[in-house]
Amino acid sequence: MQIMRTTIGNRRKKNKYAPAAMRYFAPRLALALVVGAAAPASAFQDEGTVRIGLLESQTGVLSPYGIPGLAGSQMAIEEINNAGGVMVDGKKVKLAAVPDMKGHDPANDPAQAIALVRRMASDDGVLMIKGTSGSNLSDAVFNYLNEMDKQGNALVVHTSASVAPGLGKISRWGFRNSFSEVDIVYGVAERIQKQTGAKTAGFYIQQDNVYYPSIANKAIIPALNKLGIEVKTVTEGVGSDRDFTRQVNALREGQPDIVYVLGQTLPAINFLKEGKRRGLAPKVFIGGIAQVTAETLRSGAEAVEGMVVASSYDPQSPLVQKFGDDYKKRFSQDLSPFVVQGYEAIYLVKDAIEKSGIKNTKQSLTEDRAKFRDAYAKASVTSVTGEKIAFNADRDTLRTGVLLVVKNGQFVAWNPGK
Amino acid sequence: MLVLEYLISGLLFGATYSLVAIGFTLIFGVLNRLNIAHGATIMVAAFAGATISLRLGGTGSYAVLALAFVGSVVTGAAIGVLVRTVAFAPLRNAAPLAPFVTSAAMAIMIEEAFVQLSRRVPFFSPEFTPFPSPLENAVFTIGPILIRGAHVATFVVACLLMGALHWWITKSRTGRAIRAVEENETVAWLLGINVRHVEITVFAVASAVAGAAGCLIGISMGTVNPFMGSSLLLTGFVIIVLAGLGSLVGAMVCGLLVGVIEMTIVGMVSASMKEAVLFIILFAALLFRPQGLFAGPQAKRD
Repeated sequence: MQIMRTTIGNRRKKNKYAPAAMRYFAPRLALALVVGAAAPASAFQDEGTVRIGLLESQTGVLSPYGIPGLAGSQMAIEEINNAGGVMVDGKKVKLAAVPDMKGHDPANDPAQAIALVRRMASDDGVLMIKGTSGSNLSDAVFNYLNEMDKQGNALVVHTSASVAPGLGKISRWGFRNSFSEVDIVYGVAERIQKQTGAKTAGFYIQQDNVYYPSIANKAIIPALNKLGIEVKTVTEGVGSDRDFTRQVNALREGQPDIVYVLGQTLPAINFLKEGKRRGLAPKVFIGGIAQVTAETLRSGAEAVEGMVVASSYDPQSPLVQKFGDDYKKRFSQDLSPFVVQGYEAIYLVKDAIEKSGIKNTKQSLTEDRAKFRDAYAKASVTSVTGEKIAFNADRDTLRTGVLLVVKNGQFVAWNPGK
Repeated sequence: MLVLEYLISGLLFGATYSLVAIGFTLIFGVLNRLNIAHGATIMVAAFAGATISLRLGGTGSYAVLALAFVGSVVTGAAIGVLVRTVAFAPLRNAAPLAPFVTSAAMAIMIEEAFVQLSRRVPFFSPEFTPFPSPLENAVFTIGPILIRGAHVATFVVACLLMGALHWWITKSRTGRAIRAVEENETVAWLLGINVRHVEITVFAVASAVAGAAGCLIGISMGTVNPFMGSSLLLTGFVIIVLAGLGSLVGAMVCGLLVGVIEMTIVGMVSASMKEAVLFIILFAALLFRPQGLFAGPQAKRD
């Protein structure tokens, strides 16, 4: 005991600032804990807000899609709240982002995404969730929504960045306004065949993301077969690949007229860089919506010049440029389709909330979620592109799309004749 | 031919792994403690080089590339001294695991700081920030074999650094002091060697070497990201265990060996097999030669 007392005494002498620090911090810490425990987060009709969960990947391979998607949603929430909010049960209420405007970050982990959905649904009492940022995550979450539906506590989850074919069919609670490339695959292939006279095609496919093999096998290859374009070489890789010698050499041997680059931003860039170094020169490289990011232009530089991609909008159109300028002022970043889709999604939410007849109380939450789902299926908005956006029977929003090409470090409309 | 190409590329790129492992093993040699923040040091130094290159237009200028390299080396040294001051110096007499935990904590904090920076600084990108260099598209062809200029430059610079470091450790006065502290800290102190000074020097030099490795890896990959240090730390750890803890020459040779194996596996099979193969090597080394391939009988410590 004597030893213990001595030790404590010495420690007190050494930490001469500790008592002052304790005097300063302890009451504040206690107050914060008491206030934090006693006061619920501001939400529901009586507090003048309606809770919306935000679940976007801000780290890892999905961050090029999650961060812009989150930023677009933040912009829309701020706009709506600055204009007074949304009309619920005869009263204007603000949209309250849960956990906050930064949202939750599940990275690229489906288990984490499901855990966060469960937490926001049960603990945070959100009306709906805006997320996730990739097909792998949405696939897992939408399947989990079916489990929640069986238990009678499902809620709408809306993704603006998951593009895998058939995702919308998984659950009646899973919605998306992502650009569905699968619907325009045939048209793109037909136009490229017409413009380039392509007779053969090759593929680089990132295998560890459900989207890429899925769109290749279910949509692109059948479309090419239908058009009489022979698929000569199919090479595969994974997201963590850094060396693409094998894939590029295989494609060089086949010498296809067109090469589809089906992968996330970084592997696609590195594949194209290796292709450039090794002289892989098809008539055209065709990327996807995953390539329509600021990172592709910045890190891809010369290697991505001339790549054709399908996108949900033409960045040169005046409406989009105006929106892009506003976005850049607010976030100091260049516009991408994921920003536009994230922004649109919140306006779809606003439209549905106002038409759903929800009560927005703790007691009516389960009923409200069901009413919101029904109203959401019928929601529509006019996009910043001027296009009318509404859900089809599979809870997808169909768009006409536009072909872009990387030219002088920018995405511009692809008009090879001009 | 493809296999030969992978073997050559792996050997060339493996020199960066040697640099990573040398820094790691140098600190272990003197302190008998693992510096878990070594990976974070590499990452910060790589970001420093990438920032210089991005801001000064490094795509077409070898002068900017040289400046980026110097920036990385200096940043690495500064971060190393900071890590020593915060995570190691106050814990000299603490349990052996204490600096392991504090340096791991520092690594996590540095990594998280750079995740946040990557999202907030406009010229960084959240997932990966470009490291532009004039070596990006440079290639040498020997018959059907194509070798990247970035890999050749990496190998040459890394070999020069390793040669200089080997000379410094074996021939210079400071090097002799370092070896004396490695051998027996108390005796070194009795002989008049300033052990604290030696520790600071070792941290600065080992981290400067790590900074050089970060820059060379950034140039080879063309991008840097906040998590690059974590995977390099794992590779570095495998190399020093394979070589024998504290063996500088072993770290150099085993770095090249791991580079060759890794590049061949990644190229011929898949990148997803990389970690699995590294751990199989580690397991085999621990099973058949636990003291490491290059460890002498004096390697036993504590």
